[in-house]
Amino acid sequence: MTTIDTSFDTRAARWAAEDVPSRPESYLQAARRRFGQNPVGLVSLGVLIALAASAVFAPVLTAYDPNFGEAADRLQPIGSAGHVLGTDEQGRDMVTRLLYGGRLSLIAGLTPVLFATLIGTTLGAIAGFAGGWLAALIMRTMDMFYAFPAVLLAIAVSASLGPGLVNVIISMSVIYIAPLARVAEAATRKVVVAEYIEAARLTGAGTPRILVTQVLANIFSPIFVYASGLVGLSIVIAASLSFLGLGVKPPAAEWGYMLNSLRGTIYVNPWVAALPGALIFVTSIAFNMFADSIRDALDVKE
Amino acid sequence: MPSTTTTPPARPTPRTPRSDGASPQTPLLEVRGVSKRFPVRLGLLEKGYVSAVDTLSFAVERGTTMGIVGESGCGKSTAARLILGLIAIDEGDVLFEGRNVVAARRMLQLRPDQKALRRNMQMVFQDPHSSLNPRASIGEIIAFPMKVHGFSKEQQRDRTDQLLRQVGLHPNHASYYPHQMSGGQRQRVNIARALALSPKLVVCDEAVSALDKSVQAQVLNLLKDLQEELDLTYIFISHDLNVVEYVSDDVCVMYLGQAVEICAADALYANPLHPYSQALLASIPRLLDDEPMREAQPLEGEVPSPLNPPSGCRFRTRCPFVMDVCAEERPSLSEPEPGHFVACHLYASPSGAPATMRPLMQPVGV
Repeated sequence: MTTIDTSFDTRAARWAAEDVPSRPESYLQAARRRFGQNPVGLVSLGVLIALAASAVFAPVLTAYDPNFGEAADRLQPIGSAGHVLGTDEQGRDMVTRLLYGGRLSLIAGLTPVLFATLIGTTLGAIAGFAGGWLAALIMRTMDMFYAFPAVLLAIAVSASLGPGLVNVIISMSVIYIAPLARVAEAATRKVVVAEYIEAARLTGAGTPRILVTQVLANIFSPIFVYASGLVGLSIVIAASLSFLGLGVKPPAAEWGYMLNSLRGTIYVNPWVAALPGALIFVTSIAFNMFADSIRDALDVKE
Repeated sequence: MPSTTTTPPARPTPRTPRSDGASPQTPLLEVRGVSKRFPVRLGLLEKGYVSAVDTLSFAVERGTTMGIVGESGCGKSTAARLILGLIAIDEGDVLFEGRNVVAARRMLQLRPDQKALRRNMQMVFQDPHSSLNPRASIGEIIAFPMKVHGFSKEQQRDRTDQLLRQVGLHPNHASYYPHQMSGGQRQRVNIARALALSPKLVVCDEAVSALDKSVQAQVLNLLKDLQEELDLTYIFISHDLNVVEYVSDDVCVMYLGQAVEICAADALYANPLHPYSQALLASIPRLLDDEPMREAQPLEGEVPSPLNPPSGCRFRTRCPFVMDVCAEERPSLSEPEPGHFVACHLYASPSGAPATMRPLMQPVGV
């Protein structure tokens, strides 16, 4: 059998120096390059980084306490001395409230999507890979969640759990599991019929291994794109729950709750009252545009 | 010997010597009466069965190539997947080196010793696009079977380099992604992956059908070279009669899930016995005038539905020589010429006793 190796080296010797294939850029390098060439993606990424940084460094950026105001300084307009964006109905500095509020809003936007992605992908991938009665059981259960409108379901779960950030995250994770499981299942079903899955089976690899090494990488990009699009919506729903009093407990700063508490001052100080809404809008748009750019960057031909 | 020789890594899985219990007479692979029916839903409650493969039997000798031909939908690919255990077998046995490798239960669960045997059977797939994981590099794709079997990182890398060279690629191709390669190159990767665990049997399912003619020739020659170098046994599935003639020692002609003729490739192309084989061969366009004229009636009609196959001989609805007995009785394989098996009432043995399927032992002209 030793003859094999030497005889085939003649084949290798045929590669003249100039014909030796160069190493091409990897998938991630290519995706990074394409993302870097997309101005929309870069701008939205910049906005998101700025929002995240301002939330994290809020104590450094402002000297005021977000939860205590001067009664004398109530309802200052935008541009007043010492309060660049004015004050709210309790005399608290708006810049400070908005910066601190970003913390809770971003957490409420990201964590439910993260949890729902982990759970939904697992359920969807298993359903798509196994098929049969297991898929029917999982997916029909998911379908039951579709019977309720997302916001109503979130309100129902939040109302039964009581107000608070953790309960907001739980209720929103619950409503996102079903759509994510469906996206994961559809993507998995497309992948499992491919011949490379059969090739993996022939090696003797077990189902969990095939799911992780062969399936996951191929369903990642549709799931990632869908999930990142949900973050914007998630911020809006979290704000809605706070607006309804089911979210964070007062006086904690959160954009949705701020929108609610400033509602009464809309005829006195309309611009100040609109500020939390503007930030919700900007954050949500930035996440959606970022998701679109990522999708474009990941979209290699196969 | 070239000067560029680097010390080749030791073969990670040394081939077990032939004295591993199987006598030299045992064919490498024996397929015995393998059948598969797929359930299909016809209406709300009505269920039907598609008979994809029906009592298929043949044997493949070490180092030879068994070609399986037939038109689309005749069960060639299903047969391959049944043999390899990718689909559960309804009935019948698959013997590899004389040992049964059919999973005991329907969930494709194998005993450990069967698993060890299974790794000797690999497959080269049809579609160069869907057979390679688009998110994995060529190196990862080829190394995956070795990873599953617990080879060290270094062994994986060395063997990948060696395999890439063996299939006519460069070790640098390991960092390519499938979409960066041509169809022919992908098929070479496909072959390299199939060879990664040093299998004894490689099933090529329409392995060159998706390639254009010039690339087909390259890949076919590569397969032939590898067979010679590595003492491989092939099952070569194709609808292309010329390709099958080129690579095969023995040929099995399938029609609607059944083997209708099994014989040496030379014998089939010189003297096809079954009316279906005759019609198939007559359909090959002739290039040269001095080739013998093949005479056969052109086939009429469509292949009947496998959902409700004709009684008796499945070919009778299109056979120019159809007789009364064809509708009543399924023809069994008879052996009108030594080593030449055919399932047709025209050649029924006078004694009425069906010829049993034996390993095809006659000398083969390569």
